Amino acid sequence: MSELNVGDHAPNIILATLDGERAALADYWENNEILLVVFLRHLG
Amino acid sequence: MQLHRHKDEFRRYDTNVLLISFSADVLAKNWLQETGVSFSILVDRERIAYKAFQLGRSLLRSWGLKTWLAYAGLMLKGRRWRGIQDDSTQLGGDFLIDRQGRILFAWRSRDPAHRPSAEKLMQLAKDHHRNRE
Repeated sequence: MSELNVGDHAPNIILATLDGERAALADYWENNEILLVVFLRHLG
Repeated sequence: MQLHRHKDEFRRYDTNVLLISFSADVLAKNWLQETGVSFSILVDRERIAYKAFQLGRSLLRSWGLKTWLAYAGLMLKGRRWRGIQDDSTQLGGDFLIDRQGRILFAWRSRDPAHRPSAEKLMQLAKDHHRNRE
């Protein structure tokens, strides 16, 4: 798989909120000029 | 979390911050409560997004000297050591994405301390915002 880079389209993954609701990443980037997605490490 | 201190500035440049965690809901909720961070957070227990954004895992890079020094620094500032919970080898990353879903900036951490500064991310958001005006 080639590396995802600047200029590429971000994968629209469907995840869950802490309330258990489904949420697509696109729902967030479509509603803002810029979305900063921060992937956390373990929370320990 | 350094980014959270800049949240009003990010809003000024129409930049929203979304956190993604692979940790269990209870750990994520506790973390939000303890840190006071108000960003939205999504849970990715199966790391589908982590894989899709090509974020790596490394035991060696996750527990090298830099990491120990970084944790020591945090503890000296008063952060509590909770022990190792969850998968500590998973590395993180930061991505700026525009309204059309196009990636403007991609950062995949090589080790836990390898993250772009909040100032760098702010500058990128500011530059993009200005270019659109």
